[in-house]
Amino acid sequence: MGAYQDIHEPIAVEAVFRSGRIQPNKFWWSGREHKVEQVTYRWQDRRGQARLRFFSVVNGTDVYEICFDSSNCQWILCRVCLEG
Amino acid sequence: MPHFIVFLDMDAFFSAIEQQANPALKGKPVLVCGDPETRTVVAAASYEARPYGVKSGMPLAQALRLCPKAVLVEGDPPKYVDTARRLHSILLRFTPDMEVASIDEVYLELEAQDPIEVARNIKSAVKTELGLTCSIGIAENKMLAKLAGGMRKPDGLMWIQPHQAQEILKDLLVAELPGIGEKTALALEKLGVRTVGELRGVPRQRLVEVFGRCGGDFLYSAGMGRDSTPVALYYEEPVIKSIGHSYTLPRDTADPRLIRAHLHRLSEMVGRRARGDRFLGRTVRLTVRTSDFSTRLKHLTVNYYLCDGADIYRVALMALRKLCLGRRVAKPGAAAPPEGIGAVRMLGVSLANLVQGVFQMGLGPHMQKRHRLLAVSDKINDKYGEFTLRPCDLEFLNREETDHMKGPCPQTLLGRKHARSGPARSGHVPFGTPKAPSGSEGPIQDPRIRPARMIA
Repeated sequence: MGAYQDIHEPIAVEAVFRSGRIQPNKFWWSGREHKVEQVTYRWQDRRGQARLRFFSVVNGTDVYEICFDSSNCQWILCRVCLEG
Repeated sequence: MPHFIVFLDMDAFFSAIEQQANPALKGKPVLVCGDPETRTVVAAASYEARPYGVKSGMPLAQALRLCPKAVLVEGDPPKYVDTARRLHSILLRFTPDMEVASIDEVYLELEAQDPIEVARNIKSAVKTELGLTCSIGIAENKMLAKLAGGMRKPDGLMWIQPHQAQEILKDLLVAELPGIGEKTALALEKLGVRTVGELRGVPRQRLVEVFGRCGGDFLYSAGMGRDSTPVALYYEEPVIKSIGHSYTLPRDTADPRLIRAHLHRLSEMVGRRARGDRFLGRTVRLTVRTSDFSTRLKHLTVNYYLCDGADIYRVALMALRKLCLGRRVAKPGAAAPPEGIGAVRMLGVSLANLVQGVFQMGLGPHMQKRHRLLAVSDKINDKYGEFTLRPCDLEFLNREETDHMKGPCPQTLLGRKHARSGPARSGHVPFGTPKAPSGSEGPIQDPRIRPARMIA
C-alpha cells in the first residue's frame, strides 16, 4: 500500500570510505549488481553504542534505502521503492 | 544594533524530506503516516496533497478519501530527527540564541542591521545543505515572528516591522494568533470579539474576569501585539516535571494480560529514562483511553521514591484497578461502558513529583541486589539497544504484537526490528522485538525504528 517495500536483507556494497564520509558506489541484491547513480539523502541513528548510517540511493527510477552498521561492518538493504 | 526575533518553520518537513530522499515523489501528493496496514494518522502532508483538504493529524482513511491518489510513505523518525539536528547546527552558526520549539520550528534571537539579509542567508544555507525549504518570519517578539512565519508559506520570508504590526493585526481573526485555541476563540466570540482589532478594544479587567489573571493578561498583550516571552536558550536544560510514555495499541483490547503487559513495558521505559537522568518520583499517573475515545486518568502518590520500572508498574497496576471503579472522563455524548474500563485504545504511564540527583536504594540485601541488577541491565541496554534485556512477561507482548512481521531474525544487533534506537529520552515507543533464532541465515529485520504507532 505504501510507496516502499520493506526488505531488511544483508547485502554486499562497494563503497569508498574517505575523510569520515562513506560513498556507496554499487551493491548486489537478488543476484544483480545495482549501480548507485546518486545518493539523495543521508542520515544517522544509534542503537545502543552502534552507529547506523543510512543512505537513500537511486538506480534508474528505483530508490533504495541502505544502512551501514559500523559496529559489525554490515550493510543492510532496508526498503525499496521500485520504479518510482 | 537592533535585535529581532526570527521564527523558522520548515515547509512540510517530513514529506519534504521523503521527497528529497526519493526524487520520484517530487511533485506528487505525499502523505507521511504510520504503518498503512494499521490504523494510523497523517503525520505530514506534502504541499501537493494540501489542496485536497488533507491535514496533519487526520486519520489516514479520511485522508485517502479526500486524496485517493496520494502516495503513502511510512514515516522514519530517525531520518527526521537527524535532519533536525543538522538544521540546528546550521542555525547555531548564525546565533547561539536559539530555541527549539518543535522538530521543525525554531526561534532565533538576532542582532543585525538588516534582518532580511540574515534570513536570506539562513534560507540559502538550509536549501544548500539540506535541500529543503523553510519559511521565516521576523518581528520584534516571538508571537509576531510566528505569525509572520505562517503568512507566506512555503519558502516565504516576511518581516512585520513595529509600525506595521497594528495594521496587520487589526482584521486578523483571534484564532489565528499563536496561543489562542478553539475554546478561547469561542469564549471570545461570546464577548463579541472575533478579530484582534476587537480584542484590543476589550479592557484588561474584563479579560481577567473571564479568563483569569494569567489568561486575561496574555489576551490583553496579544491584542496589543506584545509578547515578552524570551527566547529560551538552546543549551539550557528545560525543567522536567514528569517523565512519561504513552502508546496507542494496534487494536483495541480488553484482554487484561495484554493490557498489563503494555503497562509493564511503558513502566519499564519510564523507569529507564528516570534512572538515565537520575530522577526519582513519587507519583505515578496512568492514562487510559478506551475504544469510545473517552479518557480516564488516575494518579497515585506513594510515600517513597521510585525509579525501578517494576515498582512503577506495581503502582500503575494499583491505579488501573482503582480506575476500573472510578469516574470516567468521557467525551460529550460518548456512551459509558457498563462496568470496568472496556476495550483499551491507548495507555500512558508517567512519573511525577520528581527529585533529581538522589539515588538511594533500600539498605536490605534484596534491595541492594535489585540495585545492582538494574545497573547491569541498564549497561547492557545502553550498549546493545533498548529492551535487549527485558522482563520475561514482555516476551508475551512481543509474540502478540509481532504476528505481522515476517521472516526469522538472526541474533544480531540489527535483528531487533523494533528495539529502541537512539537515546531513551527521545520517547519513541519500541515495539515487537521478535524472538531471535539461533542461526544467522535469513533476512535481517529493519534496523530502523518503526514509527507507525509512535506517529499514531
